[in-house]
Amino acid sequence: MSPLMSLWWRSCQPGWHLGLIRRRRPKQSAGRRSSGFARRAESSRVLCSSATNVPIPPLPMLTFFPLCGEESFPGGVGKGGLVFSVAHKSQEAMVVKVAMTVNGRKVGGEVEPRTLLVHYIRENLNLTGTHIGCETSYCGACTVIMDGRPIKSCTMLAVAAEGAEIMTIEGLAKDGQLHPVQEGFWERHGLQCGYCTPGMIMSAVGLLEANNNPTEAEIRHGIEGNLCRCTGYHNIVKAIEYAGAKMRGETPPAPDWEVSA
Amino acid sequence: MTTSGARSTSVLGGSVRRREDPALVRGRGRFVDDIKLPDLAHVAFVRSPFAHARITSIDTKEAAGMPGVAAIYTADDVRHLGPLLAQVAVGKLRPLLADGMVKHVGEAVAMVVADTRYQAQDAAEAVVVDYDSLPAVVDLKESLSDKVKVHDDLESNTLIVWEAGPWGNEEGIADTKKSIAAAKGRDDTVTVTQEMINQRLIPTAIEPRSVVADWNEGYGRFMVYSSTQIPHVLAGAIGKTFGLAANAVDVIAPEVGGGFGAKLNVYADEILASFASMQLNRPVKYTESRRESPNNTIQGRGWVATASVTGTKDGEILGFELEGIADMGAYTQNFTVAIPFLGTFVGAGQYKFPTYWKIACVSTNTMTTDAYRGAGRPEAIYYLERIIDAYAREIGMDPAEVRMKNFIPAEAFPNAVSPIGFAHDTGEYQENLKALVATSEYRDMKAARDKGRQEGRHIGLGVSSYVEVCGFGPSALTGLGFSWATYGLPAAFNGSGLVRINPDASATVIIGTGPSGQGHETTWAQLVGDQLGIDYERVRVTHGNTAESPMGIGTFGSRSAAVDGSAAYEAALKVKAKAAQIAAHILEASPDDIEFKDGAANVAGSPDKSVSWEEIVTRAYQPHQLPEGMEGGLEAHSVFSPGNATWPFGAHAALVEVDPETGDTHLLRYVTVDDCGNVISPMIVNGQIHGGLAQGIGQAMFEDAIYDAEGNLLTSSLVDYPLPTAADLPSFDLHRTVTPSNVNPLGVKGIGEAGTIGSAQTVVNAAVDAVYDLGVRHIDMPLRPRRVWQAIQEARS
Repeated sequence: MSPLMSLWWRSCQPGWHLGLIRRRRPKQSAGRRSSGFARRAESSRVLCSSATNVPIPPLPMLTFFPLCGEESFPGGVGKGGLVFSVAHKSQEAMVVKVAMTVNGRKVGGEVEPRTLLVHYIRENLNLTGTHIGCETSYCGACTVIMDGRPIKSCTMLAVAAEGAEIMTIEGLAKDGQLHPVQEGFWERHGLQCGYCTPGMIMSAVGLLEANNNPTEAEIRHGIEGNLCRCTGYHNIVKAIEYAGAKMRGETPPAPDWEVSA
Repeated sequence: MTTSGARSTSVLGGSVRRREDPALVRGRGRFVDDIKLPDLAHVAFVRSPFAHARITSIDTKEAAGMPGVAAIYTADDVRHLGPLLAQVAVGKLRPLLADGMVKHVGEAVAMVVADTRYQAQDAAEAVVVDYDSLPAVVDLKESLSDKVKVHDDLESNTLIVWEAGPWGNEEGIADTKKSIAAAKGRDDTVTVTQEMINQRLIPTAIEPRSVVADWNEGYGRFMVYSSTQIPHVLAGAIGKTFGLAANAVDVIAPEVGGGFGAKLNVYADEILASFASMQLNRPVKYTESRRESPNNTIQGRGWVATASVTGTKDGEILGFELEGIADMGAYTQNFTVAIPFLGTFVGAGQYKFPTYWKIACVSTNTMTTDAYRGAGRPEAIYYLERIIDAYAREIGMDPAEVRMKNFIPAEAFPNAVSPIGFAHDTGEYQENLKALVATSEYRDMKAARDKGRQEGRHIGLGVSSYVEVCGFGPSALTGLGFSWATYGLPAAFNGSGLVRINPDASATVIIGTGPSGQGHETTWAQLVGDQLGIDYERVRVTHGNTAESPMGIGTFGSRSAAVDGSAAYEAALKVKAKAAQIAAHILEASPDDIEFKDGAANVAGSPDKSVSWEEIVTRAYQPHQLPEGMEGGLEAHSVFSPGNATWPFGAHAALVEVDPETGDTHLLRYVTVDDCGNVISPMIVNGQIHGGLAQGIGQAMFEDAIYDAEGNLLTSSLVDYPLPTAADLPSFDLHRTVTPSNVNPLGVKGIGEAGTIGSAQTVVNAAVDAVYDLGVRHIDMPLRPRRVWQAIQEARS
């Protein structure tokens, strides 16, 4: 289950339910309108009431728009796309206890129930290598490994990671030795600005742990959930090939900028 | 001149592993949002849900009482600071916070500052704003008609019309128009005309912009961390806004997570965070969310234009015209109206035929547009190279051959003057395209297309050439906006570098600009270490810090290597000259005979006569040991102002398959022959091309910033603004030719934007080739299945 689905699923469990799902048609005609939720661009919130009245984060956008624009959505998605909307009343921050293992260290403490896992990692644990790029599970900059599998920590609540074993980018190198994937990214120029890199590396680790001899197509599909805007993925693929070879105990192929064409 | 293969073309450095990477692959790179300061407050904005509306009231009462809220600001609080500064201030400048009116969805109306991110967002949601909505204009042609105006107090939505060919010469423009009209009137000519859309794009650096501003009342100084391509300009802007000298604003651009032009701007949130910090006497952070970003950070492109080419039936082109409209959005920011102007520089591409350009820059009720990778040049080259392709097909000639026939010939170089009136530094356009056609990949692609066609598949081969203008720039262009004068920094777009040899014989290179992924720490260390014979590992590069560096212009327009690299290089030469004098003094030789390598200075021809850098440096820092009259210390600063911009060029080819039943379009293969002059690091140059290609191909195939008629951005998240993924792209085959520039000592031209400028039309040309037999003559970008399918249906009916 994707983190987004998992969030949704959790929100449907006893103690959680979606209070209101409504279609909202923005009023388009000229005229006076009062807007209590002032930021329509940001207003796709989930109204979630529960027995304990636990608010869930104002953030992740739960609009299920198709991956294409107006063409495949006659009338335009803005004119009635399904929006989960919510009145989310601000109240005194409640706190709950959370405990997990991060990079082999037991951590825990009190958080607001709505705290996203990525915020917990970055702000509470001060592990800032895990990045935030989209808050919708699309870019993958926030990828960490939870209980052995890469997950996107920006659409998961910290409380949902209760008891989990998490590895972030900071925990990947062992005894000062870079992981073969980290080494591959360095050796094959698999990064430029480095912002997507931690998430990309964690996804690649997950990919190679499942299959350390992937084809180019398998690599490309394997990292499809991680976006990079700098490299065009060419050298990321080469970096993962390098790491795969290292993990298999083989000599990685020479970099292609050295090869005379 | 033609050289294939990367290694052999590396004249300056070679590929070394990047200096930046060990921290970044460990998650130890420091980006702005990673920065925490004691007592840090967080900002959230209340944003307009309307594209055009009058604000009738803002009620912040409930919000102000919410937990953690430190302050809420509206236009009333910041009006005295004036609007956001812009370098090319044509049009309406952006108010820091909407002042009575909102002009686009997402415009900031109020700013909430609170103890935590979540509290700030909670409170922002509790601010109640009343709006009277007004009609909005989004469509470019409608904007041109002025039926609905974006700004009532401006005469027209049309802010400026750029007319070119040749520049600044009205007589020349009239002659050009006449000669094109005459060519059209001839019986033996063919004219091909096509209206084409170059759609709006959202730059989408994966790192959303972020700023931390920290006013220290005691020092009377700001410390500002920002995710920016132009730290010095931000210091100037904050200084000017608050009545401080630029040196009272220390700006640091730490790791910057991609820029692509979107961070080549000063933003209202940077000024507002500074304002709040000053008011509250505590550090303030703002990090935009992805949902906010497209309406808070500039977008790019957004043109509708008609291209027309006239030529003989045997491929001699007699004239090219482009007339159209470019979308500026609601407010003018840094360069906004200058982006189409930059396009005119390459309006005639690599060609010699008369060229006429007329682009109207119009306002719409949408987010501001500005520089996005290529900035005006991808648009220019797209129209030109698409219409030449259409013409070649119309007369039944090979598109590559038509191009070669019309290129500015090699004999016209150096400094060949284009029909637009700019001198191109160096070029070998025919050789470059010939090199592409001669690659084995190109031959394979052609064979694959022909074989596919026999099998009934719709495979197309597309070609495009391009020239760009980079490395700004010449000091003489300050009058055209190529300076930061409006930010109080009237410097030309110079390069600036400082090289210092420290007392332990390590070297430090200080550059005022900062990279956003281009690997400057590595490249400048290579350049300087190589010159001085100091081990690369002992050369440290610091960048993007206004307090410690000389004025830096910024990282944009593929300018860093050509301009800042040249400055670092020349500073290294100055240091070397002084060190040679010291070494000559020690070795009792002539300074002219001193060579530096492997950490020492030798007398040429006598390897045993040598003195280490350590000894030279010891003398330099103990002036009594220096030659009579020589100043102590060992460092130099150099400002480099080139005599001309650089003009990189190249040729690309793409192989595309279209499924005519579904319109599904796949990019099968992509090959390039780029010419960026000399190459410092083949690894980094290739990486820049790869990334540029992904963005050009992204425009051709996937990306589209879509507004509805009321001005709602329908693609404001990555869910509906599809960036290319790894699975969407093939690996790329890169080659190059090397034609060194004559305007800088390194002979480099710049490579940051080449991939983008060369690629969008290459892919569209290939897609049209794939379905040409079905009658399709043009498909507007992006080539999504439905659009391609529709084009096929229309052609069939």
